[in-house]
Amino acid sequence: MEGQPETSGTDATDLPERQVVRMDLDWRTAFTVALALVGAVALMAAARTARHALTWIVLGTLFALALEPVVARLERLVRRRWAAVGVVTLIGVGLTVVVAVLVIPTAAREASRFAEDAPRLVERIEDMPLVGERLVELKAPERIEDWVRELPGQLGTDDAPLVGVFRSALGGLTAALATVAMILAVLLDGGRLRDGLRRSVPAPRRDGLDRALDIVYATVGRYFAGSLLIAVLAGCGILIVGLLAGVPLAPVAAAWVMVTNLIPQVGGFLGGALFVLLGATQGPGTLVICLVWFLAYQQFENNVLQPIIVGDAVDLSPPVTMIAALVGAAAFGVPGALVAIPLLGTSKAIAIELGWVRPRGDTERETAGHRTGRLRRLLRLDSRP
Amino acid sequence: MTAPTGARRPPHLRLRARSIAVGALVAVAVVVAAWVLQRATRVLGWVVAAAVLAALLNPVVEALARRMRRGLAVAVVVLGFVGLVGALAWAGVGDLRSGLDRLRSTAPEAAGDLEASGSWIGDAAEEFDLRTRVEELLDDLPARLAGGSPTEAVQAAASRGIAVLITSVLTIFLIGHGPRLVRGALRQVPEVRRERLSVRVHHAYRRAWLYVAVQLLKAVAVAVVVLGLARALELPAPAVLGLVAGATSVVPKLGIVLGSLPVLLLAGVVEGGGTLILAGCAVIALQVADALLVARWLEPASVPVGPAVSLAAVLLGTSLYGIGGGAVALTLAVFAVAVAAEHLPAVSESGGVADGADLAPAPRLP
Repeated sequence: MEGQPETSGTDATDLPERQVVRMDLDWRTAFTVALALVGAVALMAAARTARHALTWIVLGTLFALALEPVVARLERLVRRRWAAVGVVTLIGVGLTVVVAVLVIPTAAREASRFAEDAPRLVERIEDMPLVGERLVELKAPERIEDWVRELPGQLGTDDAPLVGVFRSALGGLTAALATVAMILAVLLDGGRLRDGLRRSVPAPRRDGLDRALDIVYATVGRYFAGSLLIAVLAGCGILIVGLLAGVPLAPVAAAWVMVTNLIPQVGGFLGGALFVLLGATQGPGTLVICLVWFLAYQQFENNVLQPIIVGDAVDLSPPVTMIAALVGAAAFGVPGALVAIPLLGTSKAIAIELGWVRPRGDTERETAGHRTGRLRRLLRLDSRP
Repeated sequence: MTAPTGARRPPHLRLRARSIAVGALVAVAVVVAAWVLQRATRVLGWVVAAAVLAALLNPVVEALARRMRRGLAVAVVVLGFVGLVGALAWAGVGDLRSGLDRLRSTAPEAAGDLEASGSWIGDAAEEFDLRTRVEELLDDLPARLAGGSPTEAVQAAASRGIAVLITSVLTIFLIGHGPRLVRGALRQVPEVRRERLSVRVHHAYRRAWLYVAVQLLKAVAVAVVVLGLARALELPAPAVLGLVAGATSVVPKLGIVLGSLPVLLLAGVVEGGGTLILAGCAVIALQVADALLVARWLEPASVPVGPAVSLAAVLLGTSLYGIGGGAVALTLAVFAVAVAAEHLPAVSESGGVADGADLAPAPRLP
C-alpha cells in the first residue's frame, strides 16, 4: 500500500482539520488478497463436501475431551497411556454390548406389539382426556391406522427400500466407527497434539496458549461430558419407568429423550411430550404416572443434577444457549446442537481472558483487577503463581 | 456541539480511481478463479495425486536410473506401479465376485432359517418377507457394484480409465520436471532464507518419504497376513478383507484393529465365538507387533505422525476424493508434519521448549 497524508479544508464549525489519507492499492497486495480469497472459497467448498468427516472429527475430539479425566486417572494407576485408553475402550464396548442386548430385543418386541395393538390404541385415542375429541376431529386415528398399515408395504414393495435400509445402516455404522476411532486417536495422541500446538506459537505466547487450552478443556470437556451424562440418566429413567408402566415403544421414547435432552431449554419438553403421549395411549393411570415422572424428573434435573454435574462450565445466559443450540441444530443437526454451546462458551471464556469482553455482572471485580470471574475460579487460575 | 480544542478527528481514507479499479479486478478474478476451481475439481485432484505419486516414485526412479537410461527407469517404475494397483483391484473385484456367489447361495437359506426360527426376530423377518427381499437384492447387487445399469457401468469404467491414464501421464511429466519446478519455486524465496528453506524442505521430504514407504510396505504385509487369516478361517472375500486391513493399517496404533473389524465380525457370525476370540488375538498381536517393531523404530528415524493426524487426514481425503484421496491426503499430512518437525523448535517431555530441533539426521533415500 502506498499512503500519502494530506489535509482537507476546515469545517464550518471550529472542528479541527480532518486529515485525508490517499492510498493506492498496489498489484502485489491485490494479488495476495485475491489469492487469499480464492483459498478461503476453496476451503469452504472442501469443508462443505467433507462435512460428514468434519462432524466425525469434531465430535470425536469433543468426546475425547470429555473422557480425558477418566483416562488421565487410569493412566496414573496403570502408568501407560495406551493401557488406560484400552481399559476405557473395553469398558465402553462392554457397556454398548450390555445396552444393545437389553434394549434391542425389548425395542423390537415393543415395535411388533405396537403394530399389533395399533387398532386398539387408535380406538383409545377417542377416550383420551382433553385432546381426544380434537384428535378425532383432525382424523388422527385414521391417519395413524393408514400409516401403520402401509409400513410393511413401504419397506417391502421392491428391493429399493431394502437397499436404503442397508445403506443407512452402513452409513450409521461408518459414522459411529469413524467417531469412535477419532476418540481413540485423540486420546492416544493428546499430549503430542498439545506439544505440536505449543511449538507452533512463539515462545512468549506459549503461556497464553496453555491458558487457552485449559479453558477449552475445562469448558468443553466438562460441559460435553456433563450434558451426555445427564442425557443418558434421563433416557435410563424414561426406559425404566416406561417398561414398568407398560408404555408402548418405551426404548424408542428413551432414545428420543436422550437425543432431545442435549438441546437446552426446550429439549426436556420435546423428549417428555412423546413419552407422555405414548403413556396416554394406555389409559389415564399410565398417563398420570408418565406425567408425574416427567415433571418430577425435570425439576430434579434442573435443580440438582445440572448444577452438580455441569455447573457453570459454560457462562452463557439461557436465551443465548437456546439460540446457539437452535442455530447449531439448523446447520449440522444434533451434533451441531451439541457442539454449538460449548464452542460459544469457550469463545466467550477466551474473549474474557483476553479482555475483549466483560463478564456478566463482574464490573466491580474487573476494576479490582479480577476480570474473568467464574472461569478463573473454575480453572483455579487465580491461585496460580 | 463543539469539539474540545486540540481533539483529533480520525483521518479519512480516500482510494484513488486506479485503486478502485484494481479492487474491482480482484473481485472479478476471485469469482472467475472460484468458478474455474469448482469446474476443475476432479482435474485438480488428478494433478495433486500425480504430484504426490511423482514425489513417492522419484527416489526409486533415481535408484534405477543408475543402472539404465532415465526414461526407461521412469517408464518401468510408473508402469510397474499402475500394474500393481491394477492387479490389486482385479484381485479384489474377483474375490468380491466369488464371495458374492457364495453369499447368493447361503444368504437366502440363512434368511429362510431365520424366518422359520419362530422367535420375535423370525416373526418380523417373515412379515418382512426377508428371504425374497434378500434374493432380489443379491441378484441386483453386481449391477449396483459395477455402477448401476450396463450403460452407467461402462461410463463409470471409462471415467476411471481416463483418470488413471491422465494421472499416469502427469506423474511421468512431474517425475521428469518436478525437481526443476521445486527449484523454480525456491528461487521465489529471498536469497537470505533460500538455502535454509531448501535444506529443511529436502530433509522433510526425505523423512516423509521414509515414513510413507515403510507404511506402504507395512500395509502390504498386514494385507497378506489378514488375507491368510481370512483364508484359514474360510471367511468370504478374503482378498477384500486383506485389502481393507492393509489400507487402514497406515493409521498408527489402532489402524490394524480398525481395519480387521470386518474379519472379526465375519469370524463371529460365520464361525462362532471360539474363532472370533482366535481372530481377535491374532489381530491384537499384529497391532502390538506394529507398535513395538515398526512404530518404535520408524517415528524417531522419520517423522512422528500420530493416529489423530493420520485418521483426520484419511477421513477428510476420503470424503473429498474417495480412497485415493485418503491416501493422497495422508501423504500430504505426513509431509506437513515433517516440515513442521524440521521448522519448529523441540518440546521436551516436561513441556519445556528447547530451541533448535532435536531430530535425528534425515534419512538417505535409495
